[in-house]
Amino acid sequence: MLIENKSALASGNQALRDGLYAEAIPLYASALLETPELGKTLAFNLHWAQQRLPEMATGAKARCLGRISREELPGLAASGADVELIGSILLPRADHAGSKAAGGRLRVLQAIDGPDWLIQAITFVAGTRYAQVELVRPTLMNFVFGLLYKQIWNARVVVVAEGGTGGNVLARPASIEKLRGAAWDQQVGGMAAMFDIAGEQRPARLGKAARQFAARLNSPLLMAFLHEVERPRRAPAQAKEAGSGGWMPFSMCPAPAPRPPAFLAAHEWQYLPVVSLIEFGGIPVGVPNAGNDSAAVLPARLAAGFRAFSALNGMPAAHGLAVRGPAGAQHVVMDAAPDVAIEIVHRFGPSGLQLRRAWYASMRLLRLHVDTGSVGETRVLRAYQYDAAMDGRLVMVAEGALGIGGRTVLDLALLNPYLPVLLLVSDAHGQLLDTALLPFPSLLPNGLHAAEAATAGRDAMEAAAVLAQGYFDEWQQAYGAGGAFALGEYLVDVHGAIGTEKIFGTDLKEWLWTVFGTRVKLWRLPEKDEGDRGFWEQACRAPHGAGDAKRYAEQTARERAGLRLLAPVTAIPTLRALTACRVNGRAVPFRRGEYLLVTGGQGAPRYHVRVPDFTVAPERALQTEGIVRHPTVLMEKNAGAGLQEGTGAAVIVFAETDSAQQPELIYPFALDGPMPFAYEAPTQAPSVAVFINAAWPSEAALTAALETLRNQGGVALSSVTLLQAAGADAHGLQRALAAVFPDIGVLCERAPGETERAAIARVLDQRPEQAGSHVVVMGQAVLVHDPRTLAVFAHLLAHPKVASVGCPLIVRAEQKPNAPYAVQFSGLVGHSEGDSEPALARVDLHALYPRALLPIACNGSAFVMLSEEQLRRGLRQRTQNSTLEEVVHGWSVNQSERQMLHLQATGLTVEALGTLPSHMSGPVACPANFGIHLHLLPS
Amino acid sequence: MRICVVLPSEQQKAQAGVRIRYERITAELQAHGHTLDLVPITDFLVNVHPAHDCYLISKCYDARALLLAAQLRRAGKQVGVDLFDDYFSQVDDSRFTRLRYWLRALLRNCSFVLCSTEGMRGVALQYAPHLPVHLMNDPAPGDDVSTMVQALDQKLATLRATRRIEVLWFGMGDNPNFPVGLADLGAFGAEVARLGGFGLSVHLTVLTNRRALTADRLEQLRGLGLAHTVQEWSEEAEQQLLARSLLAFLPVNAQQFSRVKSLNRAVTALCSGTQVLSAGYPLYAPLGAFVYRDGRLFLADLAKERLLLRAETVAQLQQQMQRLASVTSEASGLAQFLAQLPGRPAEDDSTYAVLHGRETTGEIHKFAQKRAALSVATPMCSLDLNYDVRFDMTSAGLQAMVSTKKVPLLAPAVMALLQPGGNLLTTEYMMLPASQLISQLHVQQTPVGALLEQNCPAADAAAYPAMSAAIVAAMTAMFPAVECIFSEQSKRTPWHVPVSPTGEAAA
Repeated sequence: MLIENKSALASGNQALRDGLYAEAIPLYASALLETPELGKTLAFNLHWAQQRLPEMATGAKARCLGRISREELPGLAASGADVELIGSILLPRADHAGSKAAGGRLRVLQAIDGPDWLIQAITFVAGTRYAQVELVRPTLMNFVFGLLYKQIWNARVVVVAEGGTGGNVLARPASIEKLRGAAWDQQVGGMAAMFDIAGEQRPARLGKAARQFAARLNSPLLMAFLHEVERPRRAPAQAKEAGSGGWMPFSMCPAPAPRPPAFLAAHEWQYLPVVSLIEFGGIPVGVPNAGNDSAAVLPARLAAGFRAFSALNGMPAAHGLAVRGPAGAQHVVMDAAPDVAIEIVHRFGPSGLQLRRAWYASMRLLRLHVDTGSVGETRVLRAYQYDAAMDGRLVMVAEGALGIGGRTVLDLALLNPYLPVLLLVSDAHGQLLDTALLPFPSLLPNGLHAAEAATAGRDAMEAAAVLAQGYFDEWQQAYGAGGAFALGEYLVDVHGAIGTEKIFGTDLKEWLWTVFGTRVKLWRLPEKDEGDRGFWEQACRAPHGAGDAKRYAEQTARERAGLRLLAPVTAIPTLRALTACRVNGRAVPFRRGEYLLVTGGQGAPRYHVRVPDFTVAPERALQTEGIVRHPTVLMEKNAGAGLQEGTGAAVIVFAETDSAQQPELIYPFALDGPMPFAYEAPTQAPSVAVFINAAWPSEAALTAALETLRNQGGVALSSVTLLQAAGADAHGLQRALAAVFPDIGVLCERAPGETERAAIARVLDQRPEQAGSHVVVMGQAVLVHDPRTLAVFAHLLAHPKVASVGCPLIVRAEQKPNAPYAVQFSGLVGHSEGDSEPALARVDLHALYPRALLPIACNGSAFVMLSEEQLRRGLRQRTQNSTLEEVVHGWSVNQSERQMLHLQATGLTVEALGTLPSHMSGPVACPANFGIHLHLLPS
Repeated sequence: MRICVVLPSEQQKAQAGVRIRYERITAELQAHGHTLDLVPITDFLVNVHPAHDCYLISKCYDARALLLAAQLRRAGKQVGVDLFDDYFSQVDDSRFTRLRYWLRALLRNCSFVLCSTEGMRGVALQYAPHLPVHLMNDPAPGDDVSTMVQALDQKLATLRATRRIEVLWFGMGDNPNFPVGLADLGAFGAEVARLGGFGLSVHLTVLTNRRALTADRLEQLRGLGLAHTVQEWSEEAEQQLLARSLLAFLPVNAQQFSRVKSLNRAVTALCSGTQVLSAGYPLYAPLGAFVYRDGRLFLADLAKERLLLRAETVAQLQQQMQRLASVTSEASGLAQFLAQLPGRPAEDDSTYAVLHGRETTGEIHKFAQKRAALSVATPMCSLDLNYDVRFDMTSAGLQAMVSTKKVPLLAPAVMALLQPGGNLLTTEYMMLPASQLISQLHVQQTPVGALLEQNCPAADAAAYPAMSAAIVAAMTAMFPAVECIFSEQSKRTPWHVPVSPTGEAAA
């Protein structure tokens, strides 16, 4: 067996489990050297191994002589015995003389000398087993050898009182110089008499005397070897499993690195000289207090922790709290309802520990930063999760000693990053002292629900703790008798899904099922995926082994009575939505169309998003975009009336983070493929008039732009009007118009002092008002490269709620043929941060929502389509606005206030050749209370 | 039957895909009396006369393949295309208009389609419902039962000793266009992490191409919280790692590109005595009896030491391989399919024109001229070569210049309209002014001249459909029965040419 990175104690225990007792004993001895503070336990283990150690075979080496004098050598040689010497200063000589005299039967084993003689002695004894040890003289060092052989190997130790004055041949290491003297010799002599005599062993008397001796010697190390040992009275809990092929201990912890001597690991409890262990979830979690073998005397706080954790995980009664004693396991009845009076969520109690920080270092590695404060003794923190799969069991996910009087970082190798975590604090020997509960660890920083804590807008740890407590309270209310969860079904729209979305993650589904008893369900399967229905249903299913009939029954009842939340496939439900308790049948505990937008694999918080109701109608979303992008609550017909909506986000949406490649920026939807974004198929090409009021880098650029307008399909261009800017070359403009639009091109030359507004009004007045016709305002030099652009805009504008339609402007950083494109503008949206009031801001919506149709606060005037009637109204408004830009902007604000939508179609783009109009590029002061609203979350 | 697989280059012969798909069946085809040769397309510069009976175009994604296929069809040869990767069914994705055009144009001259999976068959049928499609699975390597059993035993023994599950993820880690490879590993990696605990540690080895190892992807790997090692892929490394890994993790996402992949990786893993755990889309369902879909079931089987692939089930695996990836059956299936194809009559040769767009290559120009096709420069083409025909944009519209050597190919009526054009490079040209094209040949032209001057991808994308339509119209008017083929290699410009329902570039 390859043993890696294990402490001597762990290796000894392993050897013991494997029945390798002769290997276990020296390992325990080494462990005693490493961890003398665990002497009591180790002495017990040593004794346990000794009990099972087969007697040495006859004929094995049976004699050992301790340190001897020079004069004794010839006698030994003549005795004919196999003699092995342990000595120091005499060794070279003895080796030579002995070999010569005894024909090789006299061997010198090891020199033991110097200040660390005791360690050398222990190491030697541990590594060299004898059935019988004969000590030639009751000297101090010989006596220690005898004690060690007795204690480590349970060898027969006999003192052979022979003549000679050993004093002059004994090595006298400096550390024991002080032990010289008649008193010591007398004591040692007396104790030596307690060693064995022929045919009789007298360990009991010896033990007590030896401990007194070690105390006087002031040697904690030796004392560690001399602990009084009780004979174990119960079989180890896991020994049976180990013997029956159960070679998988229930632990998620990685193989322990060599650690400083500090505490007794949980898997070592089984060798404790105690009669009982506290079991929970099927595994030992602690040792009862001395003198109390009953869990009934557990502090109330601990009991509350166990109860809450058990309830959250739906643990079966068989996995409840129990005390396993000699007569088997005795279950402790816990109250059904967790004790809410005791604060256990993210908090420790009497142990004085404090959870300072916690964060996910990776997907399932939760790092806890614990402050031990003024705690002056070793404290051990263990963390557990319950694995509901495969018949259920508690799994220890971390175990570590906390530094004394400081802060300790402990890594939790989580079984599942969503499942509740129970933290238990014990002393070094495993006696339980305190507990804390992380009911929803994914709220912690870098967790997948951390964005919810970010909405609280305070310290992330504090926010997570407050939210966790609130959600836990609500969960208890919903879970308790008479309560019910508000959420009945969580439905996903899998249009455009690729199966790697987080909602299909096994961890998430397991958690939803275990803690909330709910499942992910398909909403509507895309027609093209009908053949893969089995796959998508499988993708939504709870993982293997997690289900049980009771939960299925609960789920069915819940689906009948609860809300049906429909979410995009890129979302996961918030804890707010999951824990909400049903107040009455008509209340929605969150707001439709409200969600948290995060980016990156771990879900870095970006925005708290609110979109208007109009946008969240799923049928319309499918029709226009082919995908449900915002969450909503599905209601029966007419059930929406009187609906009481709460506030807050129902889901967390993971935004796309891969930046679009250049072809996708130019044509988000390929020209040879289908283009969505139409409410209904057009029956007649809409009439569109174009007003251009921009500065052009060149006449060629203007001509190119006009060519792109000429290429537009699906619309009937009724006129293309160029507003002559001050100083612009009228001839050049005229040439361009004549080249591309000789028939419908109009150059609007302004009279001196005539405002743009007046000039446009004049042009419009000159043409008959045509119902249903649209106007494109081009306030910036752009190339409308996609020939479907105006047709799509016109189709979208056909909806009575839509006031204007625009699309992102893309721009090259440099005017080089292959310079990369970037998004210059994709709409003005309501934006806020902290406690600030919403203001209009430019946000790259294309990066967050590529190929989408978004309601925004304002499309600006760079490139926008509106109805001709609306433009005429805007022009008629009594304002000081004199430019086309100001007219359009003022009209946009007015439309927002009237709850009309401005749509931004990020599935189309136009290339910008110039700079943005001032209303779009600088700070804008206007109401931003409509359209999509983005509240920046602290990262 | 003499079969020729046309490859894009000589170097392609060394690619693993080529060796797996073609070389493994070569000997078996010979046993059926057929030959199979791997020929780089550049060889057709000199071998003008086709020597094989059947030609299979493999991964030659440019105009040379289109021209060659057209000429071979005229010569009465069987022409087919072998489809592996699905860059064709994402009909709204502007990155692949080039490839969609390529496939549509190629299939016009194909008499059959070969594909590697059932999914690709579906894609092929979308484009060519009238053509016979044959599914040839990638053949599996020959397997040695005793070696496999030995490997299985050895891996379990190692596990018992080390208590560590060695997991291998291998393959291409990236794709420039789709989130695959390491992205899948990142998305589904939790399934591997869930194997941890239970007394076993897990170590993941990632064997992939260097290009895939970007900071983002490495960060994603780190985020899994798994002990892992990353190695650069080589065939040798793959064999070594498969030999010592207990489990191969093969996650598959459900996007169309991934759904139609072959069973290659699972077959390779199983044949090396490695258990397979797959997550996501059930691509490996045909090997279902040997593929774990749930890590916990793998652990449960491991505890019982009754894994899906074990000594007692090796024979069953072999039977499955016989059905799915047998060299013998795949080779005979292909031979049988090709033999059943109806014969193609040779036709009179036509005039072909390769129209060079914004990004083209000298090789394609040379290939076209060597194969007696017209090499035509469009106004976008920036490569200055001795083209047979040049189109330029003037203020009056498109103007054509025709090499004096190619004038005899012009329609008689057009010859009368020619004017001296002068020399460009080493070629002497005659000119056909825009005014003649418009008034005499009635070529409709939408104005795009200013757009072309902009010389930027978006303007090019806007101009392409109108310009290409006008040039095709002009070429058709100038050269009787000409067939136009576009050569545009630009991946930055989402170029598009209007295509008629029959697949021809519309005039």
